[in-house]
Amino acid sequence: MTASVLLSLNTLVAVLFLLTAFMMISARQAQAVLYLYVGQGLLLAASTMLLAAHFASPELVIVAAITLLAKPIAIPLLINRLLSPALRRRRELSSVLGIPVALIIALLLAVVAYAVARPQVAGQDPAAATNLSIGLVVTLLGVFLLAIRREALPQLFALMTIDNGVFFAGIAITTSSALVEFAAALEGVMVVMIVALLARTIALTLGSTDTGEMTALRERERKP
Amino acid sequence: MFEHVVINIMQLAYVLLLAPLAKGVLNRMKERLQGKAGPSIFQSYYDLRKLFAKDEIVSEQSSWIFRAAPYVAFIAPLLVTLLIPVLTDYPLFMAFMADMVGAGFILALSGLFTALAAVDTANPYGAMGASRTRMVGFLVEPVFMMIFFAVSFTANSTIPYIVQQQWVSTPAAFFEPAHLLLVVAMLMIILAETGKIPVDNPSGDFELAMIDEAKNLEYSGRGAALMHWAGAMKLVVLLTVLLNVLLAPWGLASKVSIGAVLLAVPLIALKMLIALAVLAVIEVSFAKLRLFRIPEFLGAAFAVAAIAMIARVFLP
Repeated sequence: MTASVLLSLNTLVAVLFLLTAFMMISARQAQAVLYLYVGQGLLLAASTMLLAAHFASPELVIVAAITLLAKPIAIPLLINRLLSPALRRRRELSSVLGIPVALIIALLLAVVAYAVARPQVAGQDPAAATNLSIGLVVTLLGVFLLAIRREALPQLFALMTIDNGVFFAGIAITTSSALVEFAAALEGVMVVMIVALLARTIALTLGSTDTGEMTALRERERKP
Repeated sequence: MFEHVVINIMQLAYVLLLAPLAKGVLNRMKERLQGKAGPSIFQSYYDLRKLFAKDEIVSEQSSWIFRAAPYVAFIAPLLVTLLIPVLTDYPLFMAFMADMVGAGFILALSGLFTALAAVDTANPYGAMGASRTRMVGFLVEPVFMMIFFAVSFTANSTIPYIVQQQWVSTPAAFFEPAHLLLVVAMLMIILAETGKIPVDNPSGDFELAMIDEAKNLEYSGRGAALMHWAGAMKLVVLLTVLLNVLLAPWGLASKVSIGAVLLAVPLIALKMLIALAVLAVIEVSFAKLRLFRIPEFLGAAFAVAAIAMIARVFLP
């Protein structure tokens, strides 16, 4: 494969990665969010593989393999096991903002993030420039998603989206020593386990994972 | 010169005569996918013949707009046909009269007339349908604008014939992310504009839930026939823009000869058949959205088109 085909494929993967972040903002069902997260993991692994071929870096191949095992397989299985009731609930996820408004704010965020990222990546390798800017945008969108969601499960996925965004930028700049990526990919599983256990405990105690309602320390202080 | 005139007439005839067939094929495929036998693929022609033979009744209270609207709606897709590559990949002499924005304006004019005509007779369902179509219409508008921006950034032009050359020039240009996202956004727009299922149910009979069909309820006889025909032609024209300009500009005639153009007809009809099959699958596998969910669907289309533009402008 020639270099230009690799680059344009990587750009395609990057844009699809960005699209999953947008779709996560507009998703209304917990399961849809999970599927989007799986898609995001697959795209992340694909981009890592493409960059491994682009930079001819064997370390990135290992990172891609770990990503493929951890993000689209292990983490969804773990969440499925620990938070099955929250995942199966057919009720619509609630959001602080309406979806069209949230999408427009997300678009503005994306443009701002590009404006910030562009001078930084000028003169870099084109693949690194793509991954850095898209990674930054997805990280910002993840923060935004964390802010507008009310339930614990989509917030967990927002957290993992931030993680994915950082990872997406990271694979483009560390090519020789991929130790950080190994750690990051494995740490993701740990984070999911801890947050999911926490959410499960909250759900068992209070009967819901709606963190938007948890405004007081003790239950009886809540207004009737 | 003479051949150009004949080819232009052939393009018009292609859209005019095959549009009811496209509608019939789509309906038949939808019914077959649902496990029913479905009507004949020529059913739309029978319907048109029946409607043309019937008397037309026009309310005394209605104004000239009600009588003019079917003709405006009927002519608008034909005018657009003159601007876009239907059978040939070289521009015919009307091609530079207007670009994609101009074509959009022509279709918007027909939309305006049908909406006004629906309000004109004071039929409550007509006004409801008109206000809903306008709601969908002005949500579609920004997405169209985004698509035009992205197209003009990529191809440096919005003349359909020039845009179309852009995608076939190299395979890298075809697999460009901006291009693929544009196609997705355009498909979502076509679903909304022609009243297909995630937005509207074209086969529904329940007036309260209608969007697109409610505007035509007052028409009878020739007016109804023209309106139905116009709807079918609009679908064919929009699909032609999607297929021949944006997605797959292959199979078009590239030589200025009537034989070459005749040879292109079955190839283009085949492409259209595939597109109709995709539409049928979409229509069968999704449920109609609630009215207030439509802004979300079109908001998603807007996001897709905006990402296409971002990808075009910012990414290397």
